Amino acid sequence: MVRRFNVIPREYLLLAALVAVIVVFFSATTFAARAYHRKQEQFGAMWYERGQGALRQSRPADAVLDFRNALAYSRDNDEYRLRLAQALMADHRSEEARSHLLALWEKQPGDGTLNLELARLAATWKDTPQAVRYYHAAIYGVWPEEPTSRRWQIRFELSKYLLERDTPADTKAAQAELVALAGVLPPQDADLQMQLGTLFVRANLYPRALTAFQAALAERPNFMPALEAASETAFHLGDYSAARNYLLPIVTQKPKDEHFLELLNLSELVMKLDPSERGLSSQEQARRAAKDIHIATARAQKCAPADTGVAMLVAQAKDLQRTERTLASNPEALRKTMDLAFRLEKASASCAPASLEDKALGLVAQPQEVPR
Amino acid sequence: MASARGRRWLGEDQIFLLLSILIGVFAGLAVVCFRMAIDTTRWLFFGSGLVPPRSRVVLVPGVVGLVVAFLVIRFFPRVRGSGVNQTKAALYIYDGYIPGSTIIGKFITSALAIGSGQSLGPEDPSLQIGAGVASLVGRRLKLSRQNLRLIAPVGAAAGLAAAFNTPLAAVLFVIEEVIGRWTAGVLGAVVLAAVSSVVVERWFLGAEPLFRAPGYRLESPGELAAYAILGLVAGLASMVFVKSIQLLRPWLKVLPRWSQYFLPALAGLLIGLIGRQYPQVMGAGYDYMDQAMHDQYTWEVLGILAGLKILATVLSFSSGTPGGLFAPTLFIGAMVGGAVGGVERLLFPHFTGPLGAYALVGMGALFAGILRAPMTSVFLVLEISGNYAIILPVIISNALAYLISRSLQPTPIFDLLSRQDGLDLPSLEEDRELAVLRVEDAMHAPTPQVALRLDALPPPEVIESLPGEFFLVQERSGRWGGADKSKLMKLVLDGGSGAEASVHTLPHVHPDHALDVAMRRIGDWPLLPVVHRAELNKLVGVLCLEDILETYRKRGPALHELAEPAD
Repeated sequence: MVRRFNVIPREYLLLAALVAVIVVFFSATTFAARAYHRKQEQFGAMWYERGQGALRQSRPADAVLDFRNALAYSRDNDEYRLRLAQALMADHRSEEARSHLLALWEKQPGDGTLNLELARLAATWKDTPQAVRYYHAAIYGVWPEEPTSRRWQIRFELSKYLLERDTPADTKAAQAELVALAGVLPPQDADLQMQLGTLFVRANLYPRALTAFQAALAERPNFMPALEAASETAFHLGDYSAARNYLLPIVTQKPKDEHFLELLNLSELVMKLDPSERGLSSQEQARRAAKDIHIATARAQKCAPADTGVAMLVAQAKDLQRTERTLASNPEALRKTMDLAFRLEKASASCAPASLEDKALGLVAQPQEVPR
Repeated sequence: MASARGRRWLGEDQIFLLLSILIGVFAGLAVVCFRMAIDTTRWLFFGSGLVPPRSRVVLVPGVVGLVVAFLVIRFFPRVRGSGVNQTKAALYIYDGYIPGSTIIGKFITSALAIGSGQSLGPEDPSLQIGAGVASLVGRRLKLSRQNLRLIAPVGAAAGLAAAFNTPLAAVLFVIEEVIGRWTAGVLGAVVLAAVSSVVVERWFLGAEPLFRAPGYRLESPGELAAYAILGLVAGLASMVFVKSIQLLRPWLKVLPRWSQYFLPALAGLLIGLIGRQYPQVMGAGYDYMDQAMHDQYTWEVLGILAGLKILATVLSFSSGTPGGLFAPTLFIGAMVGGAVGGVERLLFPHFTGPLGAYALVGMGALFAGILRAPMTSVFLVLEISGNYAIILPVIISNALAYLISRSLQPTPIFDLLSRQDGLDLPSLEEDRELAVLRVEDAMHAPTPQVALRLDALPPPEVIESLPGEFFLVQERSGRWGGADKSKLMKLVLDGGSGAEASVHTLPHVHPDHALDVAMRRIGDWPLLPVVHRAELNKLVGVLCLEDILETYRKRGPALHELAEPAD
């Protein structure tokens, strides 16, 4: 049938006329389309601004509607879609948010913001492997502004998430993240070091935590949160001398803070009662041991009438009465004395209130994490 | 340019293809303007928000419905109904003629109807606008009747491609639903028109697909079972939709003429009432399909939206409001798909992929079930989503939806509509389903009385005693020819001299050839040899004209049964 299509010159002219009509129609459509797109952009921008305002005023449900409207006018606008996803997340509609984020992610799998939002969603759903995957993608992803500090903050966020999971494996993973972070954080940034130290404490890495707090204090010596954290960490580590140094300015500034006052007193008492402290003469060690057994026996005697076990220990203590001179000359006797003092304290823990000295003796009995 | 004597620089085929490109551009521009007109109308009526103001949501569709009815009845009576059928009518009945007023009428009334919230889509009108533009251009160029018939579907493909931004699906749809046959000339023209219209559409409206479908990955082969269930549900939903139109449309059509002025308004009023609570069902609903794909709705809401959209679309379409069924079909599909996915997620949380994938597959399944274009439905989903990974679920769901719909509702919707309108347009689905009669159905086994060998001819008296006047004769080369009884006897008597001259060269057929081929080849020959495809010298059967006619007579009634009007 096509072959029977007879072309005559007039048809060429008509074709040319058709082309001319198309050119005119095209021009008119271009004009109309420009006006149409301008209107669309105006509507999109208007709804976007409304959405931003609603988000700022913590009205995520309204923001969702506004961003949806904005997106209707610019379906391919990733910024609108991302804001919509964020509004949905703020409105606790995570399934919808995830769907939008995944659509964006397919276009830009290396985008830092998208990976971070997806990581937060996965974290909400307790999907740890996915969360870690997206967090890492966010850390190594593209950040147009302040990429370095963004990456630090994300690693902080990931560490916090892992610590909240509170399983041995996740805690270990958090420790690895924090160690990696410690290697890149600037030591002169007290706030970041403070943040790092706090997470190290939660991850049970006290020595590293103390280092971070010390770095913060090196930059800002009177940084109270760092002083408090450092004092508690040093105390926890059994470094009572360092703890005392941090606690003194705290107590000076907060004389009524009973917690830190008690820590200071305990630290000073431990330093006075601990016979194993370095650099002590044998006489001083013996003096301290004798005082320790005295403190322990005094507490245990309150329990002895009711508790035969404690009574036996008190009897042993009386049998073991040694002079300071004996203790100073016999390290084995000193060790046995201290051992008995600790056992007495332990045995009487449930039946007699502990004085500050008893508490200090209890701390002396604890195994030390760092050498003093 | 050609000289005054008419010397051609371009061949006829090239001119036709060039014209297809120009029609594609023209149709693309028209569809771009049409889409802008719909959006502008909506902004005027409802403002720029997706959710229309409650004060206008009931009033606007009703009032605009009155205006649309007035325009349709008074000025543009041909714009009613399905654009697909009107294009088919142009192709099969009106020699490709679509009046210019129909293009203008369809443009204005559909833009008003869809923009005011009637539950109809812009694709079907776009298809008709494209076909109308092509018809107009063809008439101006004074194309031959045959070419004028062909040019309308070419424009239709261009219109549909621009409306969906899907060139491949548009080409397939027009071939599958409108033209019904593949020939190189038609295919080339349709493809060029579709591509050029999509280029124009993307130039003005952007290249992004209709939907931003979320990522999909088949987690386990077992998940395909879930999509099979979706196919079943989609098949049932398709049946409900088509049956509803089948019942309501004829009932409304016989109401008094004065009442026809109020039907679109009444439909608009009802849709507005639905829209107060569920504005998603108003208009084409593409934005809401996108939202369904992004998990915005619970499965209960999705189910309600699917049901209400069926109701709203049946009301809008049956009332005679101009507009198409494509977008509502996709909407219902997205909601049904999302709802099924949501239920399956509840029952098998570890088994189900993203709801967006179900919504997307649901669109294809409803398209296959309602519009009964299974191939188009598959490619449409791929093109509108830009996601090839979803092809397996799409194929499974679409095939099931198509089969269920076909078994529950044998008459496809376009055939149903055309028969309700009193037109007997060819049903391409029924044509596809017609069993092809083949040579093997009609041939006889070769017997020594009919098939002879030239190098071993029997004596003259034996030839004389054989029934029939014409025989198949195998020449010395092994090839089968034919000879009259008299010539054969003369040949034997002459001792075999002049043998080749006595045997006529015959055309042959193969057992799998359609009987139509045999009819064309048999000409005036009394017999045709049926030979093996791999061994052309091996005679597997003999065919005569009476055999062919007898086979058509015995197996023919199926055609009449299929052609019976449904209503």
